[in-house]
This record gives sequence, structure tokens and C-alpha cells, in this order.
Amino acid sequence: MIYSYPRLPRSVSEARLGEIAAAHQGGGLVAVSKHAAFEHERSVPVATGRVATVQEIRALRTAVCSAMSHWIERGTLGADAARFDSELGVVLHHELQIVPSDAAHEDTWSFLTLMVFPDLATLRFPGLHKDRMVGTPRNALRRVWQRQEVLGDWLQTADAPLGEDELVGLFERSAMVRNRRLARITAGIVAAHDGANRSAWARNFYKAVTFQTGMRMLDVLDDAALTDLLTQTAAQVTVD
Amino acid sequence: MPAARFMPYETPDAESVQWDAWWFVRGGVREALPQQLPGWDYSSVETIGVTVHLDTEAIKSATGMQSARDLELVLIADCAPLGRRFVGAASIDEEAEETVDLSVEIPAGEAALQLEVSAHLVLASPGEPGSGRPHLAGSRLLSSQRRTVQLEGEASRFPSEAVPFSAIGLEPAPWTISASFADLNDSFMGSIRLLMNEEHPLARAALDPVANPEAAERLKIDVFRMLVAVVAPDIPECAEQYEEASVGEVVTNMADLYLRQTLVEAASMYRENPLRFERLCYSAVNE
Amino acid sequence: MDWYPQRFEPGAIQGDGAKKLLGSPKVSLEDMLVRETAQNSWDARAGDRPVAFTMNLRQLDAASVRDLRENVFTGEGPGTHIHEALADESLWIIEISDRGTIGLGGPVRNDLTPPPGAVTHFINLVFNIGATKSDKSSGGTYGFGKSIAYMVSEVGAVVIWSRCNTDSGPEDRLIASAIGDVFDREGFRYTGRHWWGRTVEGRPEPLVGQAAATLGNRLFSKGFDGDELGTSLLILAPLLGEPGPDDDAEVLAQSVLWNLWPKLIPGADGERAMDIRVQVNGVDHSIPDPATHPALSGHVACLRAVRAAQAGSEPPASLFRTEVIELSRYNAPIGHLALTKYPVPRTPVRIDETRFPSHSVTLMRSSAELVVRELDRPALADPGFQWAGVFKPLADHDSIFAESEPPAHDDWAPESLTNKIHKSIVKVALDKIRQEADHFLAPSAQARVASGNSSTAAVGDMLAGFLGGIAGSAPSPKAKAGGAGGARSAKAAIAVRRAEGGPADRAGWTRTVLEVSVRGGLPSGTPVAVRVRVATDGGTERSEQPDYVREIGWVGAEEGAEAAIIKPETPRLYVFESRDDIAVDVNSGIAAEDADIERSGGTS
Repeated sequence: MIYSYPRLPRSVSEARLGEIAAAHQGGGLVAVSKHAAFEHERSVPVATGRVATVQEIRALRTAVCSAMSHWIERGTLGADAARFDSELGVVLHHELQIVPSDAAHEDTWSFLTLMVFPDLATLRFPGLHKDRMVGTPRNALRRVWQRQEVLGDWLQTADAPLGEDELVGLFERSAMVRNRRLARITAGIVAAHDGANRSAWARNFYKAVTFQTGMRMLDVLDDAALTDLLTQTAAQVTVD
Repeated sequence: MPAARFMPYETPDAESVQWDAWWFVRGGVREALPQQLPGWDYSSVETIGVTVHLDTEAIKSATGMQSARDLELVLIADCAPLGRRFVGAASIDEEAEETVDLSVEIPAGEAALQLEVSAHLVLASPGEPGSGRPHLAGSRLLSSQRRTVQLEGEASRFPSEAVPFSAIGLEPAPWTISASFADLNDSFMGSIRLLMNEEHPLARAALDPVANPEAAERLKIDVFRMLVAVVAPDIPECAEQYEEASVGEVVTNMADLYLRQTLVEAASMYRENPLRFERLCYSAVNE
Repeated sequence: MDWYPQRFEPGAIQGDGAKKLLGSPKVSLEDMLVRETAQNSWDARAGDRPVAFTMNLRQLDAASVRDLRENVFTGEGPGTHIHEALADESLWIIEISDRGTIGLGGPVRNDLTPPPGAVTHFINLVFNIGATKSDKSSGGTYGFGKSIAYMVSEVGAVVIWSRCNTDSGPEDRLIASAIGDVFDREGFRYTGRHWWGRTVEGRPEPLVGQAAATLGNRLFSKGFDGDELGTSLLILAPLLGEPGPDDDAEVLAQSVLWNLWPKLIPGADGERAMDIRVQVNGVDHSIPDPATHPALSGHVACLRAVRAAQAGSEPPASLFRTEVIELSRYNAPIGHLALTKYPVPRTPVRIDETRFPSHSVTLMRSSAELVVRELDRPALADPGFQWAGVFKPLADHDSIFAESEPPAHDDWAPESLTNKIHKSIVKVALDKIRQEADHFLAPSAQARVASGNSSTAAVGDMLAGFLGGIAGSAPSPKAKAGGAGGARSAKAAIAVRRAEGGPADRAGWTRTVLEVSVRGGLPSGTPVAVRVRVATDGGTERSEQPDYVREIGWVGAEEGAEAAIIKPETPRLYVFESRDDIAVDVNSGIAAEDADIERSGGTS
């Protein structure tokens, strides 16, 4: 994790989103792809530390787009949005090499989304809603990067990976996600759960786990104790 | 509405633990933890701690515990913007009164914007259930107030980066300025960066300006001169208004503040009378 | 022909001054000769036909030398050494000719304003050293090219023969010219510039028509076939610094190779834009093929890639990967840079070690494709490999780059431009070419680790004073949130404490009794509401969770009363049950006006 990226302030991001939207309306995804760029005269990176160069950002786009080319060529995701997210998360996490501190900034993701990967974000969210394009926590790239950062390979190796609702539910519980071990073991139990209406069950499970955190500081439990606790908690959870 | 938290069990009296002083470490020395952490960036490894005084007897009698070793002090540094928390822990001895230093290390690049730090007394190992006493591992007994520490904000900081010059093909100077602007109206923070050569002893010294004021002073003069040098070829013959926070604006203000000259004058003196420029630069920067 | 030496008059350029007009070129004399004459020929191209450009080093026979001596360079010619040169009956010359060009048209008189829209090729080349060309997209922007011919001549003398179109059809024009030292004669001071032609009303003019054609055909080896137009230049006693003519020819061939190689590469239609020959006494001297040249082959691959990118066509196949990068300023394209790495072949040919193994980007203009200069960067560290690059601006940016060229066209100098945007475009292009080349050269592994470990925050903060307060990323006080909202009546303070706790009827549940007291407030009592919610790490669950918390209510109030009236010093009790594996947060406050408040004061 070595790079920080240029950041696009909110005012510039909004103007840029307008350009992307106009391009999308006029020429679809192909036109949006042509809008990809690697620098902006009003971008400002964090004051100190290593910032990715234009060349590195270009190489980043090349690498990510080549790994995601089969999606770009399809031009639409249909029912495969979750699979797209999961693949994009892995690729982005691997290629961005972003300092996690930098990834906590909205403007960093605004730059990456609106300048470098406008097409990938548009492909995922063709409605171009501001929350998805500007670097808020719901941003098209930020959320999938964050999922990969927190859950790592859990997202891919499970037989029945977490669906969109299950992931959104987990990440809404920010106190749970901050304890990375807790988030991973929780996700693992959900992925392994074999029952009807798993996402409704998962919601209740997340709630049950979160409710334990008020009384107990789960950070002090070792992996085995934490797994035991969560397994027992899961056993008591039912679907409404 | 103000909230009060209640556990389903007896907790010790709040006065049996004093969360005395929060601190952080700079140059090997503890300093009181301020609201804004100075000199922090993504390369910093930071240690934050709190000194805790415990009345172990009072705690034991309130919780019915046999041994203070069943207790643990935990420091949580929560970084909500990054979705990450750091945990430091300390065990407690059997002394009747005890002072414990509890600390946590925040690794480089793993925190952002702000941290919320809090310290907690918890049950370390499970006990016997029943009788309204805490028995589950991790049960919270007492907690300190939460403190917020700003790591990042919007205060001025000169854009800079430490890098081994040999790795990027630069001559082995202690420092240099990297500049890439198309126009003097481009953002200063986005186009100028001071590069500090990690391989050079003078640069390493200047990285700690408090400990090495002479190196820092030399750096300051060099940066001043390099900034004028870097814009000099682009300075038009008459003064111009530059955009806010642009290269042109920053260097214009700098020339005005330090040399009492317009940028046009400063650049022309730099070109035509470099020795005088050097003298003025030296005296202005070190005023 | 008549001799016409130029007298001093205000503004006249002294002869040797004219020689200096090329500035301080970065290239050698022979390179400059090749570059400038080829440039002028290219600029004079007639249309779609390839330009035939020939440099013929040849030895004149005694008759031709005599012809020059007796019929061309007449008069004394002080300040030149023409007569000494013409005393040698085995004189060498370089005859440089272009065909498929338009010749030197326009008026032959320099003292009259040319008619609007008329070309001024003849007077510009022959008389107006230093005139600016109006067509900025042409290579020879400043028209200084002709002074190089005088510099190459040991005696500073040339003969110019051109056939161009005029209103009355094709016309031959022939004139000789020399640049020598300043001299005094019969009480007048002379600039050192000389012309030989026809003196008309005290002015020099060329021989024209049949007289010019006849003399031209005698002096030059290459004439004009049919309706062919063009220009030939005869440089007397060329001095290229080599011991013999074959060596000189090789120098010229090498110079053509390095300076005109883009012109030797056929375009997409398979045609070469220029047919370039170097000859010795009319026999072709071979020019190496740049496409197979040990060093230039990489540049050729790059040129092809840039051409394809700018034509919007598919990249051409090449043996080694060529990367094409569109350079832009504020995301508006400026031009294209291609870069490639390729092996260093073994070669018996000796190649200048400053050029081989290759380690430069060739800068050239878009339409002319004449080499402006090589932008050197470090050689590759991998032994056995070299790299090359080519940059061409977009066609519509060509004139901006042309403007930034010094008279010798051997550089792009943004600082010479006055238009701010143009200056910025050229500067950005050069900066980016360097950056891109350096990035391309750095082994990727090395680039990835080239980041330091030390924090520069302390240095950044120390230097913050230079920034005049512009925003950075150092911590700053956060704006305090406004005061807590909500109406507060009579400053009542509510305190909540656990009065008692124990197991509830339901297994695994705890029953808790809270004591709620009020300090201050109205003596008649304050309506207080309490809400019990599940506590989480760092927060409170907002919604009711009956599976975890059951609120029983106020002791002594009717069932369902949300708020109790609490008098100072008279606490009330509130009861709830919760699962014994959770913590709860109790929120207490003064009840809202529309809350369901108990009707009686209750009992404590």
C-alpha cells in the first residue's frame, strides 16, 4: 500500500459528473470511456507522502480495465451486478495499492471514479446518482474496495458468497466492521449458513452480534472464543 | 436526551478507576495529547496512551472478583472515517493500588481524519455465572470518557515527500522541488512537491526541524529560492492576478511577504542579480 | 552577369551578420545544410507528387569553371575569395535540387510591395534574409535556411536556378549571390553581400527566360524535364570537413539518415513523401534504410505508431511492443508520443555512440515530419536493450510548436513564446515527454518501491508559512456543532441511577429498577420521559427491540404513561427488563408537550 491519489474537490466533482452524464446521454458507455483521464488541474493530493503519477494512474486504468474488459464489452450487467462488484473489488484492491488513510477521503474516490474509471462506475450505476459517482461511502468503487479491504478473500472463497443485501447490512453496522476480525468471522458464518431467506436471517444475526457489543468488548476475545460466541449467537437467530 | 449506560450486572464505582492523563509520544518523549495531533501524516507511526490509576480492592469488592488478574485494561482507538480500530491492552497486577500505562500503536497509513480514543476496564477471562455479577469474557466494567483527536484537517502544510533519490534517478542532493504545472494558475498543492532525499544526512536531519534547526533553516532558504526559480521562466513582464491557491498566487504572496517585492520583481532579481537575491532571501527567510 | 555589391544603408544586415542569423544552432554544419534545404524543398512541394530532393557532390569540368568565372561571378568581388576558388579548374560543388516543387515564384523586385496574396518565394530566398514565412505550418518558419548554403561554401557563394510559374507561364530564373566581408570601395562602405544577375535601374534582378535556362543547363547537371518546376542550388567549394568527396557524400548520407529519416519512411499508401538522394558526380551514394538501422529502427516503429494514432487507424504490426500515449493539457489533446524498447543488434557499422544504443525521443512536427531534435533521457539499464520514442503534435497544434522554434528549427523553446496558452502547451508537452519517457524507462518493480518511509509532516508544517494560508491537510480545529437543540424548561437536571437489579421472571432476563431524580425545575414537578434502548459499541440502537428490552414503566403511574411528574428531591422509580447478555442505554429527558403524561403525581 504505497500510493495516495489526487483528490477532486466536491465542487469540481459535481461539474465533472455533469460532463460524464452529458457524455453518457450522447454516446453511452463508449463516450463515457473516452472521458477517462488521469489528471485534473484542480485536483489536490494529500500534502505529504507518495502520490501516484499520471503514468502510474494510466497504468492503473489499463490494468483494471483489462481485467474487467469482459464486463465493459458486455455493456450492461443485468443480474450479475454482485459478481461485477466482487470482481471489481478484488481488482481495484490489488491494483490501486492505495494507502488506507487516503481511501478514507471522499475526494480521493471522486477522482478515481469521475476521472479514471467513469465507465466502470457508469456500467454499475447507469443512473449516475451522485452518491455513486462522488466518493461518498456508497460510491461505486469505494464500497467494493472497502468490502475487499475488510473481508479480503472471504468474499471470493465462500461457496455461497454474501449477496448485495447481506453485504450492505453488514457494512451498515459500522462498529462491527471496525473490528475486522469480528466482521470476517460474521461474514464467514453468514456465507456458511444454509437456511431459507438467508439475507433476512443475516440481518437479524448482525443485529444480535451488534447488540452484544454494548455489554462486551469483543476485541479482547481470541479467534476461537469469538467464533464460539458468534456460532452460538447464530444458532439462536431466526427469520422474522 | 443524555444517555446513561447500564450493564445487566454490578459495576464498580466510577471513582475506583481514574483515567488520568492522555498522552502521545514525540521524539521518544511523552507529551500531553492535544486535540490536534501535530506532525502526523500517512507515514507516521503513532503511540497514544493513557495513565490509569486503579483501586483494585474497591473493584474486587464491587464485582466479587477473586483476583485482579481477571481484569484487563483496554485502549480503543476508533477511526470511524476509515472503518478501523486499534486495540491496546494491559493486564493488572494484584497490588491494592496500581498505576498502569495503557497504550496503542497506530500503524502508518492506517488511520485518517480523526481518532476517538477511549479506555476500558473489562473482564479478561470468563467467571462463574449468576448472582448479578459479570462473568462473560470482555464484559465492560468501567470506561473513560471518549476523546477525539484530529489527525487531518485543512490547515496549511507544504506539499512534500521523502524518497530515496537514487530510486527515482535524481542526483544525490538533499532535497529538490518537483514541479509540474501547465500554467501559473494551476493548483499549488497539486503541482508542487518538495522531495526530501532519505539517503542524504542533511535531509534526514531536516525531517526533524525541531531537533535540527540549522538543517531546517537551510532547507527553508533553498525551498524559497527553488520556488522562485521554478516559476521564473513563466513570469510575464507585468504583474497578474492568479487564481486562489494557485502556484502564481502562492509565490506572489511569498515574494510579497518575505521580500516585499512583486513576483515580477523577485523573478527579475533572481535572473539578473542572483547574488543580491541570495542575500535578501537569506535575511528574509531567517527573520 | 552583372555584379551588384550592396552598399550600406540604414537597416541593412552586414554580410557576416546574415551568416549569424541562424543563431547558435545545436547541430553541425552538414546537418544544418541537410535540414534546412530539405525543409525549404518540403515547404515548396507542389501537391501530391513526391518531392525529389537530390544533393549531388560533383566536380566541375574546366569549361564550367571558366563559365562561372567569366559569365557568372564577374567583377572584383572584394571580401570574398571567389576568384581564388575559380582559379582551380577542378572545383567541387554541391548541387542541391528539388523537383515536384513550385520553384521560386513571385516578384523578382525587392523594392516594391508585392501584390496582395502573391507569393514572395524568390525575393525571400534571394534578398530577404530573416523574413518570416506567413504559412506557419511549413517547416522553414523563418526562412533563414538559405544562409546555411553560404556558410557551407568556403567562399560564401551560391548560384540559384529556379523554374516557377508566372502569369505568363513557366519561367526560368537564375541569379548568383555571395556573402563576404565588409569592404570599402570608391569612398563607399559595402555590406559584403553581392549579387550577380541583371542590373535593372540600379537593382539586381535574376536572368530570366531562355538566357537563364541556357546558362543553367550549362552550369547544373540536372535540368528541368517537360513542365517540371523546382529549384537548384549550386554551392561553390563546399567545406564539410572531410578529406575527400566520397567522405563528404557519406557525411551527407548520414546526415540525411539522422535528420530526414521520417521522410524515408513510406506512408500508409506505401509512398515516400520525399525521394531523397545523395550523389557523387551523379552516381547515387547509398543511404541506409532507417527501418532496419540498428538504432533508428525503434524510432521508425514509433513514428508508424504515432502516424496510425493520429490517422485514427489500427496500430501497425511491429516486432516489439510500442506504446502510444496521447499527451494532453487540461485533458485537451496536444499530440502523441510513442515509446518502444528493442534489442541492441550486433553491427559492423560504426555508429556515433551518443546515438547508439538509442536513448531519445525524436521530436518532430506533425505535417512536415522533419526532425526538430532528439530529447535524450538515460539509456536502459538492461544490457542488450535500447529504447526510442517519437513525439508529434496534433496537426492543429503544429503552428504553436513552430512558433517556439529558433531560426535553426532545432529546438522547441516555450520561453520564446508570448502567447501564454501556447507557451503552456509547449512546456506541458516537453515536461510530459520527459516524464513519460522516464516512467517508461524505469523498471516497473523499481517504480513501485520508489517511495520513502519517512514522514515529512513536520517539514511540511515548518514550511507552511510560505503558503499564505492555503488549505493543506494538517489538522485544524473542527467547527463545533451548535448547542443541543430542544426546549429546556426551568433548568431541570435529571439523574438516573440503578436502584436495584436481579433476575426477571423470564429466564436469561434481568429486571432493573432505576431511580430517576430531578434537581431544580418547577416545585410542582417536571414531566420526565425515559427511553430504554439496546446499547452497542459506541452507539445506541434507535428502534425498540422487544426481544431484548421490555419497558415496564413508572412505578405508581397508570399503565402506558410515557412520562412521570417528578418533584425536586422526590425521586421516582422506573422499571424495565432486558436480556442479561446486553447493555442498555437509558435516555431521560423532559417530556415533549404532546407526550402521554401521567394524570396524578404518583407516589414515590
